[in-house]
Amino acid sequence: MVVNEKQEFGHIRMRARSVCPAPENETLDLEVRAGEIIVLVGGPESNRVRWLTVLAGLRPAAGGDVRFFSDGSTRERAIAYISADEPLLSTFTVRANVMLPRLYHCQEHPDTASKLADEALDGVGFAGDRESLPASLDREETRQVQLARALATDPAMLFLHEPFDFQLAEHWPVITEQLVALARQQNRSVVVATQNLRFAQEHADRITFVDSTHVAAFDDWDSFASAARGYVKSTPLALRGQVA
Amino acid sequence: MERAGTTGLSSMAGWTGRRIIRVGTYPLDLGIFISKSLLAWIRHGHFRNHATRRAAVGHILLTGINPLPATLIVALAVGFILSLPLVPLTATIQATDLAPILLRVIGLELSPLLTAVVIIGRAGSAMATELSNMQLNGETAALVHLEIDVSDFFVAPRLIAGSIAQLVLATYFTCIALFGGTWLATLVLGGSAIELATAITAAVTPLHLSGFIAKNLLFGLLIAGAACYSALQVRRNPVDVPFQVQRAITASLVLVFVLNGLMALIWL
Repeated sequence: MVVNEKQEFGHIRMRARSVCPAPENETLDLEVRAGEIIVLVGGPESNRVRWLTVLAGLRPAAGGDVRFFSDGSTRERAIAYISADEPLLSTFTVRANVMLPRLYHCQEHPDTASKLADEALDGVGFAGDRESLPASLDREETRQVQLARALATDPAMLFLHEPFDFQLAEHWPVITEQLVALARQQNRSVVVATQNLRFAQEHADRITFVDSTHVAAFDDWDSFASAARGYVKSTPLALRGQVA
Repeated sequence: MERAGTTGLSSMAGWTGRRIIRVGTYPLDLGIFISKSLLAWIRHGHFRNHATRRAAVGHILLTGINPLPATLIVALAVGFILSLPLVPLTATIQATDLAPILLRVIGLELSPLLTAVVIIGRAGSAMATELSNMQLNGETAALVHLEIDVSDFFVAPRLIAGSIAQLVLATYFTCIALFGGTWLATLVLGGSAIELATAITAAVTPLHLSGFIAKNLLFGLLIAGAACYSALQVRRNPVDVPFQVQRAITASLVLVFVLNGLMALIWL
């Protein structure tokens, strides 16, 4: 992927409340810079999705503002949102699915878009048939194609909803490696909403905890682990005993 | 649960009223939907956008090529059936007097209508089903997160394809029905097919041509528009798919016949 100047500005600044009526302890003041990995943890999943979509600018915040890039410009196509709930187009081949954002937004020639789509699929490790339809892909191949489609427009920021699907447990090391490479080597901002606390512990630059009554940002794993004890009682995390 | 004071008669009246309002406002809703989709297409670069251009060309080929065999058969049959009782009249009236009747009945009235019926059955239902399934699976919602305008990428190419395909197929239908059908009729009954064909060609005026083009473009827009409009009403319920497809087909048929009648009045 080409590194371009917009990646220098890849950050969001948000001081906002969630979309639901909430007490004051639901105000989040977050700044994300290029090359950082931010992890959203906590439960229930609907809360994490809600905050992730607000951070990505896909739904409005109840208060405050979300700004992208240092000059305060509004969201452009330099942002990608990836979720297993965002299916591929069933009547388009794998290659056509990945080409679509570039063809539509960048107005490139189809041959160029096809070549870049192949590069994106190679980059995510897709080894399947690129002329097949999405119905014939397995879960890991579908995840790869969704990621390649999101990366097709070279976004500065990626928002991922639960890339660590339990049914893809054997692929978690590869997924972790990809996300870390996207941030550290390609200098993109990566915001991940996940229950995978090991990923948060080993790779997150900052951790944001959300549940139905709290939202808080922590500068590192240690501050989260020690502070989270008060919240742990009421969250599913307690059941897993993942927090040391 | 009924509200206090509501009787069966008033709830029936309410149901009837709501149905009338829904049916009555449907053409207006459809017209607004079609206009907004075409405006979105123009705003996003129309034919300069590779993605929508490829989609439009693909749908033109699909909508225009697939119904060709059915159109050929129906056109020959219609032309033959209508020419059969009229061709013997050339013994008593001039071909130049018969030609405008054949042109008006077959060329300007029946051809667009029957072509529309073929397209509704083949392409209209296919469009509605495809888009309904995409809407049901959440594929169109995923595109919104990629900042791809559904009206621009899905609806507008289908509208353009429907209009162009309807016009091309109707022209094809008219030629086959008028010339092929009358030729078959003269083969069976005798008479001069060439004289009749020449008279028919000479009877065509710019007004006929412009009316023919306008009617067919409108029919194509209505058929594709009704298919897309109904398909995008599907929510996350599989039962919605056949319901909306059936609604698209019915609405297209009714609107096409009503519009044909209105244009026939204008023609007077």
